[in-house]
Amino acid sequence: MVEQTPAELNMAELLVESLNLEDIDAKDIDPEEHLFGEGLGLDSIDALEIALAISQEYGLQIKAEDESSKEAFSTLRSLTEYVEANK
Amino acid sequence: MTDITAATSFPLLTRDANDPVAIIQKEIPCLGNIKGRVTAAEFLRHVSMVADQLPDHHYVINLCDSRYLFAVVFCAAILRGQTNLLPPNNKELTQVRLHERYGDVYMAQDWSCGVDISSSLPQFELSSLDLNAVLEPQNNNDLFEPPFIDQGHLAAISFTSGSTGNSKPNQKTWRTIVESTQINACHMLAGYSDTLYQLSTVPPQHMWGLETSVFFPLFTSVCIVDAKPLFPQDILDVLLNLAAPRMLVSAPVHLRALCASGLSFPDVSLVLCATSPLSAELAGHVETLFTESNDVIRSPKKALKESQPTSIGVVDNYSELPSELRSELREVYGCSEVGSMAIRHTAREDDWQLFHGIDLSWQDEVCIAMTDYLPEPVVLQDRIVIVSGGHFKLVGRDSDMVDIAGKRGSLLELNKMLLSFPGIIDGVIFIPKSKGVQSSYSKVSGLKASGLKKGGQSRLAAMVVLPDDMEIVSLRDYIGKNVDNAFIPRPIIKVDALPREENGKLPAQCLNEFYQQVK
Repeated sequence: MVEQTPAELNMAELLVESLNLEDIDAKDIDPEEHLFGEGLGLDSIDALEIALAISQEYGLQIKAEDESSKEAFSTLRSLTEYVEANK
Repeated sequence: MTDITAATSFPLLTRDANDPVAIIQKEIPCLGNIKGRVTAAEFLRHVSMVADQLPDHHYVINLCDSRYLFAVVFCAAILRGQTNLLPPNNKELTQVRLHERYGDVYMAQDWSCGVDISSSLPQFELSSLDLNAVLEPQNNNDLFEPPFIDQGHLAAISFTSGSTGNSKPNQKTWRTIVESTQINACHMLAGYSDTLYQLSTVPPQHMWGLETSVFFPLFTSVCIVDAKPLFPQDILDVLLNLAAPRMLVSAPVHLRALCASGLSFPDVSLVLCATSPLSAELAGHVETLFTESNDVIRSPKKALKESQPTSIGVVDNYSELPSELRSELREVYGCSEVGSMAIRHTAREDDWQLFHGIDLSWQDEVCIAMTDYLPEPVVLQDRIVIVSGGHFKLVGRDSDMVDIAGKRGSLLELNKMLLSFPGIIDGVIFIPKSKGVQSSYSKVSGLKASGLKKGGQSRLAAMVVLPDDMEIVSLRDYIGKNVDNAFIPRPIIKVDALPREENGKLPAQCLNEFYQQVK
């Protein structure tokens, strides 16, 4: 697995906590693994939970209308970069 | 005018030619990137044009992502004498099973479905069409004559949400659709006769979205916006660009996110909510959130969110507002077999008012619903107690049925699916006893719910016995291919053995104690 950056670990912990991913250790989420579909198997309600957690943690409102935010949800790495760039 | 056809058929729509039926806010490629209002006459021309192009098959799996194009294809298929299949999810395996079951099937989709398309199915791509021509201004005030549809025509088959492609089909004839929509409008839209501009956050493929965002525009004064936003900011953006009076159709999970978002919303006169139970508290929050922005409302709302003692005064202020200025949330109860059946003003009342035209009866404590327009009586999954004349209380549900974020599935079916995983030795999917943990953002938002999924049940969990060389991740992928993602258990825990009794039974108590030890 590719190594996580400290910011990615923070984001991973936010995901694990907000989604109750009890069987997954935040440290074990591969930054380049897909979050939705195959990968972690998250769904649209999970996306909503993540968006809410991000708005409350980083003050950033996610919009699906932006192409960049669609891509942001593909991996832990892209989500972290998106939030870092827009918060 | 008495017409013999009136008894056996009914028009495809009952709007006037110039009535707005839809608002296009974001360009739809096959419509030539037009934006704005679509009238009933333009809609009908789109429907006729698509109907001419549809391939010759009995059934269409309508996966269009655009709400407007979904409605166009839905009506076009009916016009061609075809039946819309409404799969519970867009999983490839679900489409394959529908194909196996119904045979003469094709799939209709627009450019943005994001669906894994099963190559074995014939495809109909809307993006290959150019419907723009029909929107050109026409000189003659053209003939607007909505075609009549035979009332017995099987217009759609819906399937219980969340289940696999083998779930029980619910047949909707044209008569069912027309009559149930008339009844739904009487109750859900009571008090509104002018055009209501509706934003819906629920997909048109599900019964709730179908009834409200596809059928209402055909027969009532509702005009839908072609959108299906999920995130609060996206919902806000659509609402800000929508004319008043506005109407929102949603589900508790989406409404809870809106309340927790910290955003300010324009006034929304009417909110309809269904799919899983809503608390009176959240209903009150929603009504405040969508009530005309003025200081009387705004500052107290903040106090309410921060749970200051002054919040009592807030509610008083709020209820002193003239009712026409207040947003009203009407919660609707229903099931995919019957459709919508009852309504309540959740912030103020606990009992449900049964829709007229629906009769309930009981056999051995099981409640059965009957209507004139459904082919057969329907056994309800919920336990219902009549309070008085047409009012009832919901007192629980069949223990086999699970409700996650408004999606319903059968534990029995889910467990059968789990045990069909090649190589699995033993396993169980179950509802873990809640632990009452609050995550940080629900604390921040001041809402009592622990996570958005509260209102339905929380997440399912699974414990499985697998061969040593088999990974949980491959099991998770397998489950994900078979069921809606909301039903993927979390966590899935690998154990050496399940605490089964000698007779093979797995009592709930033992299961939960064992789960607390291993997780």
